Amino acid sequence: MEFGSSSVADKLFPIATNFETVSKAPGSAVRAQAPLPVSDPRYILNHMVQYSEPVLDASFAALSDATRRGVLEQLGRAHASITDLAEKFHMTLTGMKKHVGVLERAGLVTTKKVGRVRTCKLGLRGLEIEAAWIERYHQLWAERFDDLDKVVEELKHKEKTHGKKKH
Amino acid sequence: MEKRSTETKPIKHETTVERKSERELVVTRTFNGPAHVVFSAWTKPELLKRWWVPKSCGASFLSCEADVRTGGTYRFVFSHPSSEQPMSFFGRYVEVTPPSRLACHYFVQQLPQSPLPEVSDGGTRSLDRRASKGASPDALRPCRLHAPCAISALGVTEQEVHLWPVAPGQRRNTSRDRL
Repeated sequence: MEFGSSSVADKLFPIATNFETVSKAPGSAVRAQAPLPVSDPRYILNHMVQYSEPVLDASFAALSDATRRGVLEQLGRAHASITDLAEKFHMTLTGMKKHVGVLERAGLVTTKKVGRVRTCKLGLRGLEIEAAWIERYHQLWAERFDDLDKVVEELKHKEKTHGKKKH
Repeated sequence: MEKRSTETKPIKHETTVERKSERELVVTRTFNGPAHVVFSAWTKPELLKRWWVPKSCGASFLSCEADVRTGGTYRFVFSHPSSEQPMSFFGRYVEVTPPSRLACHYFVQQLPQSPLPEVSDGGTRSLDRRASKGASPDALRPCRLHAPCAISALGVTEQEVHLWPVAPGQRRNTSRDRL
């Protein structure tokens, strides 16, 4: 996992930093490698490293497994039953139940049994991680735009005075 | 300096970030200035350098070059105390229509000298291009900025900037709704 990505890049280009693995390949043309979708927990975690250590600690073990990260990504898109997930990840029901159990204990997933079907969705902590990521992106742009406001004010002022000079 | 500031302080507008889909975010903001002013702040390197890197980030511009026309390229190079290698942010303008629309691709890299990725327009595009159509530039009104940003399958981020005039007090711009 790419936990050690550059913090500067992370601050400046939150949405772009997961491409470093692609662009770092020395002198190579871009390979047709699909980037991590923004909902991929690896990607989200990447941005969470300096953001919220406790959340990271508690979730680390749960997220150390590729299948569990896949399950989280899947649930970020839509709720699913354990059966759906088992099929999607080519696993036995028992195997998937274990994975979901780990995610559930970490607060990343919640499940609810209705009749014979257990439905899984993102838990509070899973949602927190996602919200924190968006918040980070929000902070970046809000800060940029506050500075841009100043530039805009100055340009407006210049235009006014120039306009007056010209008849 | 000698001018007493009797004018009221400009209203500070909210920046909103909305996740549209798995690969798409939209940033929206209103500015107290006309679209052409915001457009030039976005396209003139000497102006862009003044706001694009947030101070809290600690990075500073080493260079900022931009050939702002459709098909033109740009490259911003930064340094940061924590890193020996400069970092660059580069890409190509896909569409430049002053003062209402600017669309580009970008890449981030640690090594300043790798080639610019070839990105064909189309195929990976998922952004809503209609957003700018209804915008008739009004030279004097404050403008609204709408910047969708999407990650394409090639790992290139596509960023668009739409600017359109907005009447004071108008809560939501309607250029999308008019379509």
